[in-house]
Amino acid sequence: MDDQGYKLGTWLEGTEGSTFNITFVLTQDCNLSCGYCYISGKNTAGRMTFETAKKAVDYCLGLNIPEEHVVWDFIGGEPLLEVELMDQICDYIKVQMYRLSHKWSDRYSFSFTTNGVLYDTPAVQRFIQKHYHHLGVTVTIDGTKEKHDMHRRFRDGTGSYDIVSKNARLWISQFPDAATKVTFSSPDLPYLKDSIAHIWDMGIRNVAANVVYEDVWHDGDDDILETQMRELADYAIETGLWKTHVCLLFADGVGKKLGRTELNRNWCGGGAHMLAIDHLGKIYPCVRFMGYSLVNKKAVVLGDIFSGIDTDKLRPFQALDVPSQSSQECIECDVSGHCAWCQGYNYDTAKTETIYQRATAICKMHKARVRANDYYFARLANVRDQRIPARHKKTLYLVTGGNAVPICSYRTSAQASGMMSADTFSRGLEYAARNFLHSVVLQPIAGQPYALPPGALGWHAILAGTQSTIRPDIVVYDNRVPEATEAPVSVLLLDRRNVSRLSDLTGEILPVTNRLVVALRDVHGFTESDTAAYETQLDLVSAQAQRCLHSKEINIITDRLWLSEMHNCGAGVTSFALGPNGLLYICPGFYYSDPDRAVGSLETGVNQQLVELCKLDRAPVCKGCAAYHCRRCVLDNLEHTGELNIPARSQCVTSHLELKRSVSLRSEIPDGTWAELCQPFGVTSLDPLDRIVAGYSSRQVNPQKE
Amino acid sequence: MLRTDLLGTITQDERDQIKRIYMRKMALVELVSSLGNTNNDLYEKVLADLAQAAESMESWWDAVQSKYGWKVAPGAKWYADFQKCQVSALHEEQGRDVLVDEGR
Repeated sequence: MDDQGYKLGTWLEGTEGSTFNITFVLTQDCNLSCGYCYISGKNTAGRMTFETAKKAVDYCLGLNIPEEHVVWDFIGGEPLLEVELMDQICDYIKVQMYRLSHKWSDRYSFSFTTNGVLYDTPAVQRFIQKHYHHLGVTVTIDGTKEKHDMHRRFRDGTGSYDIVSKNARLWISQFPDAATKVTFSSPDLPYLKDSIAHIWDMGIRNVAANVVYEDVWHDGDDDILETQMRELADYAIETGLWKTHVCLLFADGVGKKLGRTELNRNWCGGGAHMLAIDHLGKIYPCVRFMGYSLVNKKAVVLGDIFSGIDTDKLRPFQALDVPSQSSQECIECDVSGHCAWCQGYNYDTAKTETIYQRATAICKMHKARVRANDYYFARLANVRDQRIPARHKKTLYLVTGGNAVPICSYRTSAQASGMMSADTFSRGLEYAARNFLHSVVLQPIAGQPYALPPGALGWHAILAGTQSTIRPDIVVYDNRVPEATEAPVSVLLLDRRNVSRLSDLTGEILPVTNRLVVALRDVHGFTESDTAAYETQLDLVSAQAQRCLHSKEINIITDRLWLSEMHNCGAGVTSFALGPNGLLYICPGFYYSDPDRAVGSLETGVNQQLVELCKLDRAPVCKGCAAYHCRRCVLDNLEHTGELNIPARSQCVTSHLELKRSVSLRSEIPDGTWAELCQPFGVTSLDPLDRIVAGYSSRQVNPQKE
Repeated sequence: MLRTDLLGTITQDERDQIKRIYMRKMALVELVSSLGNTNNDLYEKVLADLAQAAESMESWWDAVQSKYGWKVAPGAKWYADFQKCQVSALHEEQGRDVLVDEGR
């Protein structure tokens, strides 16, 4: 078991540091004729000679490749058809690296992937023994006999399972931590769970599984994949294999929104971190750019081992990142973590001769994989008695009734007094799961709590002091702290009349929470003395925050320190609410203020036209504002200015008082601790509208200049 | 059969040191088997480097044993787990071969 306490859901351990991969295509011949093989031009003619291989080794060792480690990879066809040649090449590589005192001389490995048919032959076993400590071997086995023999057949049509499964046992006894690779296409999806369970049962703990990138998917295949993966998750949970076994269909990064760092990378290392060399000495970005791998396009040759690589041809591969090759939908996708692609397949299916056009046939299958991962990680949390991870940035608040705990400054109201039915609750969770929303159940203040079923991705919010059988993830304190309750997130609702008690209350809550969200009420009615009291309290809360800055967050003080752009409440953009009536709202407050203000339903989804003005780029006062932490409450906007996108002055002033205090706090942080992590920022006016009005006035002075 | 006694934890720097030495040693060990008849000029040099790598490994073990005060029964083999930064003693029982590449 690893440090995270589980294996299923972690990635396979790789070489530490950067690695360059050099692939030798030893032969285009194979002793199998697999149905899904990407090699479209299999033949017996393309065998690499030792002389060519030596030249290739010498050429590669002469390149100034920055990576610290190298993997010398051997591929076919079936590479073990050429095991003597492979052995000769490995010997030559080792000697030459040593002769040259090359940096890779003790930072190398050899690798090959085989269909396993020849694995137990004396020649192969001698090779393994000789190079054992620098050898990585993958035997491809697809799962059950039925699944395996469906594709992996000899040329006469007979299946290879019986031979390969026997040899796979020998392989795994020699390489206990090795991984096999399993590929799923449309016809074999129904065998996924049984296949991987079977491989695990064979003693192969690590399975690198994936679905093909090709456009082979039929209606309903995504549902089959999700169901199969859920069944596999259940199997792993029930047998305890989640502690020791890996299947790369499950990974904690699957479905996470890509950050800037990830967007600046390329999923595939072709050309940039790998090269492939064929029997003629031609050099390719990877084997998928060789002629025998391509259906629609001609091969991409970077050069050859005799005259070298044309570095200009390499530049497009080195420059690849996510945005430059993806559609806007893919760039903005909320669940694109681990959505993979093959650069060679992209090229082969692009409308023009380009590598900068991502194929997206895998999209619906990836989303099914994300849903299955959500299910697994929620079940895993259940079985480990841990909190459900918040895997998605977007949230659906389930307002269970008229007395559901308020989670922000809005007030509940008597006119919305019904309770959410079990059917609506269930459909709401299903809606959230299908749309990658993290559910937050706003539990009733009194009465029976609503329970999340195992495998549902969600949190519970309860009112502090409420007698509940539910372990809360969010505890809400309404103007008082009857009982400080441990929870990752706490919300303090504070009425205007209690502003002078703010620091007393935060002081009681902070020890039992990681993040404290203060939601001020009645801000619109703040008098000058309220404002002065609030400023005084902010000083005191800031002092509290400074004492625990490394471990706690208080939204009104610390959020601004770490933000580099606007990060507001998100209502109508990254969060929505489901009312007890089955209708969708911008936030719970909209439901309580007027149940007729729905913006959609579980059946129709959210009407985007009705929430368009919630977006930051439609908010002229806010989009240039420096108070990045401001809640930017669109309900408050609507109630006081009549527009969703325009804040009342009171909201701006309050946020800027907080901003001022954050500016001071930042200047008080000693150098060398946290100061370098937060960008400098300042505050001028308390109302960002002043800046707009000032600009407008100046334009009116000299209209002829415009 | 093997019995494993966990002796303690080493620092990441110490782990990196022994890992480098180990990689060097194993590269040389496997290079010897690849030299063949045509590389006699290299043979003596590789053996000398191998002896030096083995010596470095012994020195590393002596240093950590001294630093942490670990005591092990005679005949036990030492084992360093690179991932966990842990050092263990492996005791051989009932005549089975012990293959420990990471230790001595």
